Amino acid sequence: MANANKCRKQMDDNHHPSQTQSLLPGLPDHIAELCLSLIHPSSLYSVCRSWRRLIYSPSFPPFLSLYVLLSSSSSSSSSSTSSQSHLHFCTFDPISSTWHPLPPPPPDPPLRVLLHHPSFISRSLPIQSVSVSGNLVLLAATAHNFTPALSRPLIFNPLYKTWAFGPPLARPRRWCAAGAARGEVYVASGMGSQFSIATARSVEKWKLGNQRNWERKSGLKDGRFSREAIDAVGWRGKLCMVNVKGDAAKEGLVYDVEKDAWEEMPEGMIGGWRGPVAAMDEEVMYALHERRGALRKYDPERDAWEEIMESERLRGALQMAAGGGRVCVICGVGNQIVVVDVVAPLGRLWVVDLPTGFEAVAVHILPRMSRLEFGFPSVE
Amino acid sequence: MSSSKSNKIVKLESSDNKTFEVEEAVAVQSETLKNMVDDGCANDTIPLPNVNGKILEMVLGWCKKHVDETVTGDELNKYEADFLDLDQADLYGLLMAANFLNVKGLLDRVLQRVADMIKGKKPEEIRRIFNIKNDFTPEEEEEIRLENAWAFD
Repeated sequence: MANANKCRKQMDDNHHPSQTQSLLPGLPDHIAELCLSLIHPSSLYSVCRSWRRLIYSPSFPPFLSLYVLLSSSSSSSSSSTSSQSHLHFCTFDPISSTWHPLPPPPPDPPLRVLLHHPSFISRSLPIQSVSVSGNLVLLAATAHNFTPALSRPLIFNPLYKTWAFGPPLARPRRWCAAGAARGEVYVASGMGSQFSIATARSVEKWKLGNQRNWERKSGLKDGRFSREAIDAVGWRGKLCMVNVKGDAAKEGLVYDVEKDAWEEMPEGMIGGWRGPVAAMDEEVMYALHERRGALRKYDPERDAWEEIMESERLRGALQMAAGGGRVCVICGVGNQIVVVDVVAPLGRLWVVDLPTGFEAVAVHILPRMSRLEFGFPSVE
Repeated sequence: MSSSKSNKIVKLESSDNKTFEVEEAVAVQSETLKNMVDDGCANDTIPLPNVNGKILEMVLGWCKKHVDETVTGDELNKYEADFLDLDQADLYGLLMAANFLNVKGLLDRVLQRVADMIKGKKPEEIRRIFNIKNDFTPEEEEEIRLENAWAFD
């Protein structure tokens, strides 16, 4: 019996020759893993195969990556006929500096989203998404018949690489305000197939994981906030939003999560809201002055914005996300993502080029997907 | 038996047959030993076939220092810094012992010490120090991270 086991073991060793060396020769791997998890993955990536494999394994603390909603560019410059644009989902892994497609969303029901239409020559129709609790959530878009494309949120979980649907909204909508605060997703205002004051005033919230329903919250006074697709920014237990993008005159509101009440936005805060805004860990709010390309940080004590840096490259910013000490901005008509280091004193800046033929619609910062196999297909 | 805890002695024997006697308060810094004491299995000498005498002496020294109420915060910091000034073999031995004996504070400090030896070094240097083979294929070698690449914190 003992001999048979010994033979089997030898056979196994021949059939599965050890492909990987131990992580730290001299230490059992489970202890070496504890040690390596204390080190930034950028230092582990280039040492050896087993270290590179480790940083992508499900048991290793996942590093942050970019998640980008992309539209394939319409081919013709004059669009008398709306050329079909399609929505794509990709992630940029900054450790390997490679783009990867996400697994496709469930085919049933198909996600059919209208991105361009002759009636909207100067811009694309919005697709609204938020990141919450490490997940990417699609909330609102326009379908080809000008109805809301999503009646339920579509959620992507990077660690499990799975898509799932959330519960149906009481009022599916588009051109709404969408944001997340303290692990809960909010949609406010907007319209269904057509404008209705009831939808324009309604506010719903949903906690990731709740499979049953959205909860109605205190509504808005009027339809001031149903003109544009708005990114509501979760910050210190509040949701902050303005009703016009870019540099134009606007109105602002702040929703207090605990009080379930809407208040006017403080003067200083709205005064500096002149482009996309995002909050880092819902603690520090950053705003980009669209015209000047100036990145600023909000100081709640003084109700004022403090300038961090200004760059030509940050002009024309469309949307941004903040996380892991970096602010990531979609600039230049959507074909570049600019990454700003807001931790280091010098404010370094990098440009991430998109895969050719695509434009960025939205950018999010989320944990990297796990890689179970090594030869991971990448997008050229 | 109702013996006062502060007087109880725990006897340990290392893999190379060295015996150590420590107060229970010192021994229970190890969660592993604490469980044995709580289960009443610590009355005879406890054999530790995974830990040699040299390493066990170091671990017990650490535990002793950490229950000594006369030691100040500064003294403890200095002690810990000096303690970790060891060669790789001893650091690895400590890691395995601290893991097996489940002495959390010691394990965390030694893990951090080894991690600090890796941080900031170039891949070739890391491989040399830790005796790691560069087993990348030529294609994978091409994918080495650029110096000026960015990442999230």
